[in-house]
Amino acid sequence: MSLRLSGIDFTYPGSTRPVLTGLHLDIGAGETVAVMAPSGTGKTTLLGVAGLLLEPQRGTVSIGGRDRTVRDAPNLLGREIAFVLQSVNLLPRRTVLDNVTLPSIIAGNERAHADLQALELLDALDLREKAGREARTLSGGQAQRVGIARALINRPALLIADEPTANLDIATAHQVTELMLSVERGSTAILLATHDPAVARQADRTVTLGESPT
Amino acid sequence: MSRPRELAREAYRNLGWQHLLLAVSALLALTGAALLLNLQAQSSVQQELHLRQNGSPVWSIAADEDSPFPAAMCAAVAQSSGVAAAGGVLTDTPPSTTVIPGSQQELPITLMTPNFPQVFVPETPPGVITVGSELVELNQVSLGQPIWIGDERRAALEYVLPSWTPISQLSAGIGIPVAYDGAIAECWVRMDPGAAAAGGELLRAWFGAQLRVTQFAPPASSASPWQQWTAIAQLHPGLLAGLCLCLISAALHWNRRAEYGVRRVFGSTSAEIAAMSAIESALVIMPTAMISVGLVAVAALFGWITALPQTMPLAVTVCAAGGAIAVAGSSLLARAFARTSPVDTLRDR
Repeated sequence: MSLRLSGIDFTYPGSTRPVLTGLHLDIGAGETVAVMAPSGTGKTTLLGVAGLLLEPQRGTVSIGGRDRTVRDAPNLLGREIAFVLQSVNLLPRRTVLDNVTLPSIIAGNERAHADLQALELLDALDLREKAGREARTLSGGQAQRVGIARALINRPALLIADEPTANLDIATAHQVTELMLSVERGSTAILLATHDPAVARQADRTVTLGESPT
Repeated sequence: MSRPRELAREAYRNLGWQHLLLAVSALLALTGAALLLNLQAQSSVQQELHLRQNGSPVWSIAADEDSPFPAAMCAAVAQSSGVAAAGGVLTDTPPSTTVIPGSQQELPITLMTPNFPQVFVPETPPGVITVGSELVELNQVSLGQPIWIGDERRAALEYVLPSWTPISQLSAGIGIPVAYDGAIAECWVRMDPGAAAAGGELLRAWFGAQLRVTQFAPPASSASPWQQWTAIAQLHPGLLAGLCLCLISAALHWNRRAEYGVRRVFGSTSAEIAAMSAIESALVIMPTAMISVGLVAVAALFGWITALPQTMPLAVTVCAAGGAIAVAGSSLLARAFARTSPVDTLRDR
């Protein structure tokens, strides 16, 4: 499923300084686009707008060819749109399996079905033996892989990853990015914000905020 | 996740150390509320029973019209053993004098009893007792003299205020025991609880056996002491306990903002998060409320506390009310915290 942002202007309420101005971005189905920009230049805001968490003052967000707004978020978040967060934010005292199944349960799937989906993903991410462990016992790299499994469990059309490797060492960052891009994800489009040129090189295309995207 | 079974299951799986803290707090607050209710009932009913058995502790003696009592004699009765307080009814208008330091304005002294004129004194920190210098000049007070503060407390005068003290800094509330030498038509005494029956004899001994002594009659009521108390009993202890638990819940929800953000980012609505929180709180607080009532019942059964059997249904009501307030409050707080923008979850680094 594709993502198209057209003529996006965004300014935070109470601020006079626009964060995004006239932004255009197209991501095709199955394509991975890395967004690079220095801190404070609007990467997270861009991801928030693309993920329907923030309503732009101008412009349209089109997902799968349909214009979407923040009002559509409750029906799309966790199902069509999923996030991989920099700080992962796993539920620390719940098991790895519970964390991965969370979006599936929220989406209304039966627990047995959700468990099956989760175990498949954990298998693919080499974490199956950790399924019963509490999330707080995982290392940073393992936690991020669980975060990726959690994001992919509902086979989203759009995966938004906000600096998913920022807290990891170089080797683990490379491995996690490779896993995220290689896990069976069908036609999922990926929008990936990163500081790391090595991570960006693994994407199909890189855009830099402030430049006209190609 | 709007299916109730899944919400309940999720709530059950969320139970952790925060909920243990909430459970302990709930146990303390609700047991305290049930005990407080029991103590209130106990004290109130015992007092009423005592009043009905022994009559009122207040006795009064009336003077003949042509020979009023000297007020000093009534004041002297107040010093007798077993007398909590004494007072009288004046035969003429009370005197007036200036009692505000630095003011030329004359204000009447209200005689609360023959010996307790109400005066104006400055706001002072606890333990520092001051009065205006005019009272000293009038020989009504001197340093070290005992004075009454408010209705109950008694303290020694520590400081005399200069006459230039601004009026705005003064407030009422201190009674000064100065001798009043006027005439009174009636003298009354309030006896200590153990000496209630002796009031009549005491007054006759002081003022003359031929005079009419009356004991104030307790208000006639066909209701039992217990029924009287139930009519005025309120659920304030439960309300207070519930509000305390809401405050603790607020702290716990504050710590879970990141979790709520994650749930929102993955599609939960704030209403679902509120419902899940309500179930979590109910799972913790409702059993705790039952344990609280059980503890009070067991304590009464073994004689560790004296509890009236009739207070138990009210203790149940108080604990249920406190628990319900805590559950509802916790749910509303969870909803409020869950309504913050989920984009904060992306920024949470």
